[in-house]
Amino acid sequence: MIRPAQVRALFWLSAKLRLRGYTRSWQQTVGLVVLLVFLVPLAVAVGVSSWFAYTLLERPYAVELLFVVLFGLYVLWALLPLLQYTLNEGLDVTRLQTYPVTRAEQMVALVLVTLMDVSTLFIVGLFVAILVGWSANPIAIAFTFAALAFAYIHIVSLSQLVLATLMGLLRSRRYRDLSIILFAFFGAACSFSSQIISYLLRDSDLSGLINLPVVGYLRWTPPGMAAQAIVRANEGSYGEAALWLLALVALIPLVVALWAVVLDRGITTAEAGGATRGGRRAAATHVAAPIPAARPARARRTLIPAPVRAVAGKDLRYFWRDPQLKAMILSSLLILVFIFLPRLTAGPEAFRSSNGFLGSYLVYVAPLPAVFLALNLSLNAFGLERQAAQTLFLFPVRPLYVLLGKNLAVAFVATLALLVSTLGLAALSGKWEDAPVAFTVGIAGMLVTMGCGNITSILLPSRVRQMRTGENRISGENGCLRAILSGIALAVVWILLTPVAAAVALPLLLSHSELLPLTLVASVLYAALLHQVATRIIAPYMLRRAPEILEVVAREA
Amino acid sequence: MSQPTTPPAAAPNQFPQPPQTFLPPPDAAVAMYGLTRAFGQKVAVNGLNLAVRRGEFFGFLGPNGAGKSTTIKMLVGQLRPSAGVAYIGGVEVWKRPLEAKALMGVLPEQLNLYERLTGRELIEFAGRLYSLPRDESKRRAAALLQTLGLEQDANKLIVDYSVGMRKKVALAAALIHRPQVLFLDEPFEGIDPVSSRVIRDILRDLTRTGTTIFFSSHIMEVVERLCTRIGIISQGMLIAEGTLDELRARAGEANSTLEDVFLNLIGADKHEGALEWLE
Repeated sequence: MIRPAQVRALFWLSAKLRLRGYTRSWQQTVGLVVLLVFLVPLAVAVGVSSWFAYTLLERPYAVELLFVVLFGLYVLWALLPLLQYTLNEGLDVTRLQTYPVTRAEQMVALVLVTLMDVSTLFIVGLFVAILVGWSANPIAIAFTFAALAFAYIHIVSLSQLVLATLMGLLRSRRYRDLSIILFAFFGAACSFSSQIISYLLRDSDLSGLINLPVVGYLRWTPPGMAAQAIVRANEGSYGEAALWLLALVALIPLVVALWAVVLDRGITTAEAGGATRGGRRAAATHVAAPIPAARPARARRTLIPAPVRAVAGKDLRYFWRDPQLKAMILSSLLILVFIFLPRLTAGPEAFRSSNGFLGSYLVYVAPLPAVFLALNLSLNAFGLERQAAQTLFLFPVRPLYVLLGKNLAVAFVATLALLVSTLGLAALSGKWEDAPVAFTVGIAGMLVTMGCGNITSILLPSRVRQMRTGENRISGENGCLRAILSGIALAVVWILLTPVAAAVALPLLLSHSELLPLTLVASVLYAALLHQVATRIIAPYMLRRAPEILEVVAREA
Repeated sequence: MSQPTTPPAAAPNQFPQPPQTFLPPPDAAVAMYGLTRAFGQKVAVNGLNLAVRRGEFFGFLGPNGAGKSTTIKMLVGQLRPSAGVAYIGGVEVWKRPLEAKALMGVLPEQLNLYERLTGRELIEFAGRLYSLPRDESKRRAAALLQTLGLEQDANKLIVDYSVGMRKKVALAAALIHRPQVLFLDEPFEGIDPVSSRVIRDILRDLTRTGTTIFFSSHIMEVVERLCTRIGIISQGMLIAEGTLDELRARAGEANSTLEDVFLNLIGADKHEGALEWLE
């Protein structure tokens, strides 16, 4: 049973939430406008080019293209939720569980509200092209329209079915962690894969792949049935077209029923947030024991004070365990892929060649990943703490120790990256003599970056949102002024890094490499001095600015 | 011990400043004078004067939005007051924040913990930042985990904890250095009855040994059972303060429950008739 009033109420809910999202957040509105600016031309271009293809291609190829387009949309819409990219944000059916709304009503509402999704523009572009490209006569147009409408219902239903089936998995913390990292690297992985595939297939014959008859394989799938109905109607076989259309319609209640069953099972057996593997948790039955009084502690004297080690240890654990930070660290290291990959596909000899952009100076790019890493992790150190900064600021720790602890953790990770990139590039290019120079410059660069980062973290903190579904960006909602100031700060960091770069560049450019030991020592001294002066001057401001820092970085979403 | 004063409401930009000579009472663990916080035109906390003696279990009550959490945030150094001063153990919070923080333990209402640490790691981390030696931190963390029934889940990440478990681990982190003053903002929300009992026992023991507890809660029965003195805040102003008997006397309701006294003092209206369609 489908009651129009219930469907209208669900549609209103979705529209209201969507509209409120835009009216309460100008950033979201700007994001929508930017998205539309890119997506509308893209949808139009895809639509126009596919229409051209339907019109200009020979019949068998046009038919195959139609099948591929409809099936591609079907699969794409089913797969995107797996990357935590929710296509229909407006209506979360799991929240409607307590209300007397049938699954059929929910599905109708879901299909309708997806029409408001920006991503649907892409489908609309392709569907309009099909409607125009497959319009032999008015009856064929009617068949095409009906087939596309039913295909759309199937696309939304399958997407919801996949979501419902994988509800447990998608809600699990480990999957969410993994998907954040995967999504952050989606673009890079595509580029990497395409280069590898093109490298592997460059000598293969692909003509067989092009001539593969997809119609035979896909005709029994819902989008295939829609395509068959369209093709047959355009050929004038209306009876056969009607049969395909009937089969397509008949499958809809089946898919919806399956979705309803899977959803109900998923909701009623959904894992609780704090469920434990070890079965029933032992209750706290112990008698309250008094908290032991502090023993007169004779602290061991160590080179690194205990709070510095504690903060560094905590940060290192976070770098490893927090998917958002891990994605950030890995993306800083992506520059290595861009250095290695073109040469890898060109063959190993390319590394030893002295031609090309970097030529014989290849090893000197080794510090870049480490410096980028230090930049990413240092410039907004308290922002990266997110809401947990409130906990950090409750402890009576000297600000200098907090900054040094954070620097220690960053230095550890960045030095590892520096070591790997330096040794890797030295080994590949065979220029081992450049490795100590690159390593020293990298250390100096990291020190400068961290010193500057300590200042910007305190004076210019910005909010880093907890990454949610379908996002591949880390920051946001900090306002124009803050973005401009951060840009200026970044420019200042690069200016302050110039002497470090000059310590290598000048002796090499002036062909006085015997000066390198001197300039390198000078650059390390400069960097260490800058780091210490910057850190010690700014540290006392951390306590004074604690409420302002917290207001920016730890405010609730 | 302090007079429940209600200073005149001030315009947001003209808050009365405390006298230069103001000193907290010598036996006060928590003291504030003229503590005020405004957000734009809205004055969330308006000239709060209050002192809590050492070893007292002080209940801080008020309806939603009354200014309880804002007050606690100002006392623990997380929100800068628009005016006024706050002392913890005789140390002025906003002038000597490190010393003040070393004396206190805080269980905030919003638990923004390090979710990617395990329960054990968080408690030990807190111990290290409170300057406890590593071994002592480990020993105390183990004792707290055992007492609070978190032993089995000690090595799980906090992100996988339930609300109650998070609350308990946050409480353990606040207790590890045996604070002189403990700020608890809604500590029993989401806690099961067994753990609730254990926590109540721990808190009672702490007050017996001189720890002061500044406790904010909506659960009147708990406040009634635990607190030795109660302050009631409404619309940012302290409207009443004293022992339960003193509050009863003030409300003119002898033998009534704290809930009745509270509702009477804050002037909660009953909306009779409006929901007649429910009958």
